[in-house]
Amino acid sequence: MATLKIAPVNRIEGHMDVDATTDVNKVVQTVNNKVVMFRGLENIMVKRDPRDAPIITPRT
Amino acid sequence: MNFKITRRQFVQYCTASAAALGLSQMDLLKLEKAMAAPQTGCGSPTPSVIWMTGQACSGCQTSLLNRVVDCGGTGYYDADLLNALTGGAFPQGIPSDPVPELNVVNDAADLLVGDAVGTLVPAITPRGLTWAPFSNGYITLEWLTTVNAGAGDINVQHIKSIVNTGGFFLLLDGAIPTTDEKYCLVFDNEVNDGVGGTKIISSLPLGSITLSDALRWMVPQAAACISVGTCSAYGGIPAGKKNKTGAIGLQQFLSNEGISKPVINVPGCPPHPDWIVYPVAQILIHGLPSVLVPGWLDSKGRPAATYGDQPFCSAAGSSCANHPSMGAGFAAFLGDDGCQGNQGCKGPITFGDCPARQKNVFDDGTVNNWCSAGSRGPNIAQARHVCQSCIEPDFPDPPTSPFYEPASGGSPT
Repeated sequence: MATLKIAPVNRIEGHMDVDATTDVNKVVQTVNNKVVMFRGLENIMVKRDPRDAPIITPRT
Repeated sequence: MNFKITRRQFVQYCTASAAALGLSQMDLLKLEKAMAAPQTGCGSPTPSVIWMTGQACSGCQTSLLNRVVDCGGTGYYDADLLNALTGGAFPQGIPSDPVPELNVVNDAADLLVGDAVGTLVPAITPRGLTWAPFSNGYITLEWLTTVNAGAGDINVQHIKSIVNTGGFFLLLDGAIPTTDEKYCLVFDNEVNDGVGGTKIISSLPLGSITLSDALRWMVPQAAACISVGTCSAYGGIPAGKKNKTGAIGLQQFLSNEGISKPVINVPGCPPHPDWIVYPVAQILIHGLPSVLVPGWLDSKGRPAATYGDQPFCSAAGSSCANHPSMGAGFAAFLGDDGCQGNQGCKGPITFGDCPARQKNVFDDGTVNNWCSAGSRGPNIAQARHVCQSCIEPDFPDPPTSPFYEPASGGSPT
């Protein structure tokens, strides 16, 4: 069994890592996709004018 | 694999954008000379650029990628530019085959997305890819995950050699988390040897590397840093009130860390492509010292020429086509004809050249817009939204918000 780690995954919009494991025949057994960036826009929206939401949340 | 835009194409771009970039005829001559003899000493024949991404949305990159200027390419996809973007990102020797000469659209799409011809590329580069200053061969874009070919450890090995050589320019879009640095991970400090990986960058810990650690490693080796976008310059949206990540901008981060390095702030959400190109062109033409003279940057660390020390709207006037002095008065509702100041436009507290510079220059070169207005004339759609003051350090908190309430500084009259 071998592990394969791809970090960063390129050519996507954002941050992402991939961990995969393969068996002896090099067949993929498990794949974990990890999104490795967090901003917490939900927190930033708290107590704001609701009309501000469509201006802030698209910028993700 | 050394792909270059022709000199003619780059000079064509700069000539077409000369007025927008604030370049004189003399500057253009100097630029041509600089292009004829690119500077060396940065590890590669051309200045290396590492573009890191923090807590960002890729909007800044997209703003630059979507720049619609004909700089000599054919059709929607400029094969030379795609070559330059993707070819320059490969480490030497990987992949084993050189990227073939590209001539037609489908080949270019193949290079970017493999079999998925026409699905991903139009999403990245609608209306053509014109990223001339970054991909003309005079700057080598060593790292930008959104467009780099390859992935994972081949890129990490590549960036290691660039950083160790030093002298590169570091661009950052996105904020830097501080409450827990693991809120933003940028790459993995391991190679795949099949038995669990091997440490490859000795000064960094094994495993996932945080943006903060990467910057502590890179910035001391860099020639200068450019903060692209409001997040990187001042914290921006990730640093909005009640955020849990403690996001800060690059300048604040370096000051906290005690790292001394020139930083040029290019705020905007997203910044106008000209704003990003301007400091790069300036450094290419006049050298790095020219941007470090007092007065070249304003009090907020931004190029004074493109941001300035005056709000772009006041009772005295504005280049905004909807300024009350233009005759249409104030809008009764958002989107009506007239000044949007009473609908929440933040022009009076925003220091930039947006109404004069404008965005969305289409193929025929006629249509212009910016957030709150457009050129007046037949068949020209006006945006008529409100300026959100996205280039100011306070964005998105008061006084730049609530976005639909008038600025506390008052309306232009």
